Amino acid sequence: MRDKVAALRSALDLAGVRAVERAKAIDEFVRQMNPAATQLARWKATLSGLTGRVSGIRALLATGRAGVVVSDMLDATNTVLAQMQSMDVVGMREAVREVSRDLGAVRDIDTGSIIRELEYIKASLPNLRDDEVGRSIRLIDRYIGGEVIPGDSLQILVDSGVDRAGARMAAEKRFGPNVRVYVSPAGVVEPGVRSQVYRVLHEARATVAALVSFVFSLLVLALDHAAIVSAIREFQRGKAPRRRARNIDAGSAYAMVVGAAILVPVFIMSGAKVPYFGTGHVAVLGAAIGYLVSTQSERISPASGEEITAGMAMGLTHTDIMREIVVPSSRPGILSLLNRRKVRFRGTAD
Amino acid sequence: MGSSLHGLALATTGARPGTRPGMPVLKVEMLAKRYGKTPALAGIDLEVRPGETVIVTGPSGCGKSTLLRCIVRLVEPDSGRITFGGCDVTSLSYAELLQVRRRIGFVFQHSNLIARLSALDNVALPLIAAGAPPDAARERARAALDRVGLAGPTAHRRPRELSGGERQRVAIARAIAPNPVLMLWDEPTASLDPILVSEVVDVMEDLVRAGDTAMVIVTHEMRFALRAADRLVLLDHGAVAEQGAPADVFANPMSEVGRKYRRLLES
Repeated sequence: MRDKVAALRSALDLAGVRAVERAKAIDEFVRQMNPAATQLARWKATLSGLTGRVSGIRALLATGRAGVVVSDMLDATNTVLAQMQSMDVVGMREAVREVSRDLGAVRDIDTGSIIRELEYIKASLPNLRDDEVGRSIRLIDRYIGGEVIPGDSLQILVDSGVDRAGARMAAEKRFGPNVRVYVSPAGVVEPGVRSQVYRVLHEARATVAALVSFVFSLLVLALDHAAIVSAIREFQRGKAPRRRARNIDAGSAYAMVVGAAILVPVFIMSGAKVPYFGTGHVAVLGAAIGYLVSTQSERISPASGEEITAGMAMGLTHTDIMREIVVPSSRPGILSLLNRRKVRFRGTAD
Repeated sequence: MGSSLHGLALATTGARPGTRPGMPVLKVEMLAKRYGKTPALAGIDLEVRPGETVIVTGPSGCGKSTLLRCIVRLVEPDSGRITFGGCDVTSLSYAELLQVRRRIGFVFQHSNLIARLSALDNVALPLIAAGAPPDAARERARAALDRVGLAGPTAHRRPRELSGGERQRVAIARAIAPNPVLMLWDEPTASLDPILVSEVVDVMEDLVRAGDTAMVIVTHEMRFALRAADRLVLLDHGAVAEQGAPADVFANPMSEVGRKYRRLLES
């Protein structure tokens, strides 16, 4: 028994020494790790107290339970030290830097400008309450939303092997500073419902605008220009046809040019868009409509060949013939409406 | 071109614009025109002097209407030369051609009136288009209508409200209103019934008798030709078969078409 107590005493002495050494190591670690300094300082105080308590335990050897208590305490201390050693200090430092960078980005936002802009909008709507100003801004946002959809998001899925930081940099470089880029692990892809609805509405509106542009151009050509095409053919009737333009006469050429000249600006101004359909395609489509109308111009709005021939024989210019003979006799349209102000003979006797 | 216009300008210094003393008003030389492979005119020569009345006739399709339309270039000739008032009509620019057309009156077979305009406005239209003040143009139009016997309320009627003869007389008034140097008549009685024909022929004879305008009249009215024409030109297959004073041509026809017309006149 005496031997065992002696051995225990020497073991406790050794444990006390080790505890002191580990307390110093922890103290050193605490000094290096500022973020956990408070906690470690607390642990240091605890371990320092533990040394004193170990020394005091010697006095308690007579009780016979002190060894067990000390052993438990040593196990607990070892566990804490193991957890602290396994901490990823480098990872923690990178995470702190990431947070710092995001905070910096928030700080870079020119909140002053935003506040001034809101104040300006509020000042420009002086008689509205705050909630009305908010509704107005939302209304403006809705209309502007035709081209720029607020809150729109784009999800780019990359292979698991792709470097995230590199992908992020590539995205930031591609989309510029006005787009926020977030990188996250792969998960469930959730399309933005609002942006999807906006996109569908936008595409529907653009398609409807394209159809309206098409119909509008067709009507203008049929009502206003079919008679002019017929008249041009009458002007050309006595002339020998040119070999190069055997298939497309002057009337058809006029209708094609006018068709393109009407459809392209109407298409652009109405905001019409058709997938895979550029301005050049629209111009070709306008020319095709013009050609179509030119083939039916004599049925749609025939010009009186006898009257035109008489006008030519009288020495009237082509403009005079159009203004006094062709357009007033054509179907009612924009051109005949505009022509009313210029025509010299309104079809009534003096 | 500049010289042609200069010639036309010089011509306007005389008593009648577009004429020169002793010079023909119109001279057509070797005029040819084909419609596709079909020849309409095959080298026609024609000369019209101031105040002269020339009747052109011939079977259908012999090129009578084409000849008149080529003179004012309503139909472009393939070759040949047309001289009016000293300038070559075939080489005029568009603006110069308009000036020439305003000095030539043209009466069509179907009157070719503007349907939406009254008779008065139809007659005033070429005058106003040529730059005449509206009031003066309408005054001259009334005078022209009076000359063809259409004064009064008839002047305010539209073409569809007029008889065929009245329509043709409005067309004649429209042609004479600008006081042309030369008048071209393209079968003005062909689409009229016999009663209306005399109505129009009387007007034509009155104008011929006035003698102040050279006329080229395409017609099948041979009795009118005998009475009014200074010269008769018979066309056949796009060429001049024979020409001369009407009495001489019918008395001693030299061509087959001349003999046919003589038989027609005798029947």
